[in-house]
Amino acid sequence: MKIELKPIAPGSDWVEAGAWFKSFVNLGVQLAEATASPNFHINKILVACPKREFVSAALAFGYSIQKFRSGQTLLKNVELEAVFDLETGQILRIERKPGLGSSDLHIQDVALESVTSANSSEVTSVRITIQANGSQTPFMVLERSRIASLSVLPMGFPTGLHKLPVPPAGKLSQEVPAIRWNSQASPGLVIYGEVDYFREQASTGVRYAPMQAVLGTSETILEDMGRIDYAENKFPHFVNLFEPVNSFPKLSDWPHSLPGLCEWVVLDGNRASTKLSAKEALIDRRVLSIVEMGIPRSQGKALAAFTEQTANLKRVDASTLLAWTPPAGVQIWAWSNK
Amino acid sequence: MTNLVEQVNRLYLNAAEAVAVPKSWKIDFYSSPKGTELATQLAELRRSSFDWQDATFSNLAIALNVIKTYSRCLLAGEPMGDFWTNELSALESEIFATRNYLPASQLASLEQLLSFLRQNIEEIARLQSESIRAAVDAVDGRVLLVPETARLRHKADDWVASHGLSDKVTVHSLRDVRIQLFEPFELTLFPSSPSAYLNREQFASHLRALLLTGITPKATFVSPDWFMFNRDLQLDRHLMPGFELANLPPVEISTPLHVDISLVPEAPTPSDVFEDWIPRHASGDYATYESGGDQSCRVIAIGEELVFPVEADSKKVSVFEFNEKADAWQIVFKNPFKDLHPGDYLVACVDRSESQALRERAAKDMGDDFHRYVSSQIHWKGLLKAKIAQLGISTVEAELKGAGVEKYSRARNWVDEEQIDPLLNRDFEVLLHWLGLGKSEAKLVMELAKSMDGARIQAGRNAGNAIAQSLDEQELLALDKGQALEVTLEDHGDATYLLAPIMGVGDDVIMFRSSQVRRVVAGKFEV
Repeated sequence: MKIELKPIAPGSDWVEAGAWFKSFVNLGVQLAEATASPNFHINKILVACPKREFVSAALAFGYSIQKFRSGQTLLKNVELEAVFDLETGQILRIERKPGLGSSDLHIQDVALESVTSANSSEVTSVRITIQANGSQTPFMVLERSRIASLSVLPMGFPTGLHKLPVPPAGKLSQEVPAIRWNSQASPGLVIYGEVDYFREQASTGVRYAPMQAVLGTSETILEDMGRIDYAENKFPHFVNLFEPVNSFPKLSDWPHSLPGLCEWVVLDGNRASTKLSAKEALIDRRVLSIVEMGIPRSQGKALAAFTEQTANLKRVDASTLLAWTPPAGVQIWAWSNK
Repeated sequence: MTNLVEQVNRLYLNAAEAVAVPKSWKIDFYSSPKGTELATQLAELRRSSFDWQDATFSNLAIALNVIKTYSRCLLAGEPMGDFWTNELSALESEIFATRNYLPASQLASLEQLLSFLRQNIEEIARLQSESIRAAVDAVDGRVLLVPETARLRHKADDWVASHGLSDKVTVHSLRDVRIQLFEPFELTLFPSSPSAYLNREQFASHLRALLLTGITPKATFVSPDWFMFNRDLQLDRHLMPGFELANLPPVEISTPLHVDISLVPEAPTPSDVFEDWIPRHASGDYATYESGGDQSCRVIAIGEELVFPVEADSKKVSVFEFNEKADAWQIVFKNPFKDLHPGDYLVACVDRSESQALRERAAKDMGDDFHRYVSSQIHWKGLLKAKIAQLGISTVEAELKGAGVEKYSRARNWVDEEQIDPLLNRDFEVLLHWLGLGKSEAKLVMELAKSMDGARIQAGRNAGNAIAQSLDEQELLALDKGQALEVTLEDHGDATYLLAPIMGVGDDVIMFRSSQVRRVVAGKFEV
């Protein structure tokens, strides 16, 4: 299936991405699929590519597609009564029923501070306080009649109020592909890289016909295709995340941090690989390093920093285990802890 | 201009073509009986029980290594060229200077070697030239010629010009090649065997960058057969030690009929192979000082045997300092001869990566004007080059002086692609008039150059900010402790800077090659 890209630079035209791009998208798909298997033990991957341009965005693209296909989610539906049993800091996702004539579906993720109303056997509404920054109200009333669904998410999940188009009459939100796409909560990749560079890549236009069936349009940008969130958390979905290299969390902050929720840490480029490979927080994490061979000066440092972390691991055949053949010019190596 | 996607597509297509098309990677070892004899004589001298490490003979040893290195890879405009005339004179002088300390047998061997060189070096050089020329002629497209060092690059430039190949062949030394996304070369041509590059630790990554990035669909190494080692025959194993490389293009190795592959030796140690016995400066991958320059400079010492040469009349250098008010590290400009203090952090470019990166960024900002700028530069620089070739540099300088050009002595540098324009506007105006450009044409050339200047300055500012932003806590701590720090900016085309505390500024004026001015250079200088 053809994938076309259009760089953000003024005057750029649509160009069909070469087989290499589709191959990296496919690697993202394979990686997401394999990671879901309990028998998959690869935990370090090194990809050496000519240039890092578009590689991490393509991986996020593929990962995002596979996550959507599989329908994986960390959301656990709960009844209103269960709110009383939740711990402080627990993330609640509240999907409200659209009001009459409203065109917006409100989805709100909040961090629970406490439940203030009394428990009773026939709960119709619950008053809670939430952890909030700035002007957001710390009080909230959850009325059974106004809530379409209530679910919990792991601590550390991003919070915020998001609006999506209401589902067509007679359909539940989860029956609408675009809503499922935009509200999926299944963290995949956290990409550490250079923010300006990455945002420029992620802003590249993309045309991919199969997306028509999901989003109602086949034309978007790589950031949307890869469902890549940044710190500002613009969307109710949480699939892939980008973070600047210098924002790598301290070890003590890692457990309930956004990156800590992701399945793979992607070190996007030689600087990220050099700086972050040896971080203690990554010792037991799944890490994929993208080393750019076209940059000779930093290439050696990046390779050394990453491979040093694989000293006690077993080299395994990445191509076979991921069912992925790298395009010409690309090398892949992987290590397992089993 | 093709867009980024097309450019990246091409890299992968080149890589795919290299794998699919037979003989896309080749190593051609050509027969050089006289070269073999020379290598044998040199090896016997080295193998003798004589103590070459003795300080008395160090210059002689260096002269011999220079001969060994350049006899296998030098491409010069003339078969003999000034290079060999000078080197053989140097060798003769060294033999003369040490003759009273040399054992009779060594002296005889050296004199025999000198005589052999006088008779045969021309043929040895001619064979190298012919072999490289054949490789260039074997393709229709453009060729990227990659000698090992900057000195070899200068000679190769002369060779390209003398063969009338300037439109077809572009020369970059190995460490100066950036993976240009924009230039569609067909062949990367290495005028040496892979060993010559792989033996030097810091060179291997540059070689990998060229071979594994798909910069061209074809790559050819050309070397005399006497410089063939086992690792040349197993390039896939030695290109990236410790990693198995899959899906590499098969390497076609051609050797003269008389060569028995099974007898090919292991690679010798670098000190037996290279002219500069220590292949890199102890603290980093920096170029070594090259004599023969024509730029008057003073040096800023930034480490043990490490300097940053700036023009003797320079007005500013970049310094990285902590701004208490802003609570941040910032780049500021200081007069190198008045305002620098020991301990100030100099922002020193390590190689040409920065200027190329700035050019690319500026090109992006200029849009279509960049192509008009490039055409205008090619035009006036071409006219100046032709004048220099026709009249000689001394006459050109004299005529420019007569026409009122203040900085006329810089004329030879103005042909360099990196020099956007003469420093003074008035000089530029007079120069263009002297070159025969009409008033309106000259105005346009100057406007475009000014536009490029502005875009480059802005790109430089952005790179400066990027340096500050790229530093993490550990690096900032290193700066607080007064340690040197090397910073590579991936987003700025691999531009590499050394942030190094200044140790002092030299008073002597020293001549540097323009390619080494404002670059980190390793060498011994009085400061």
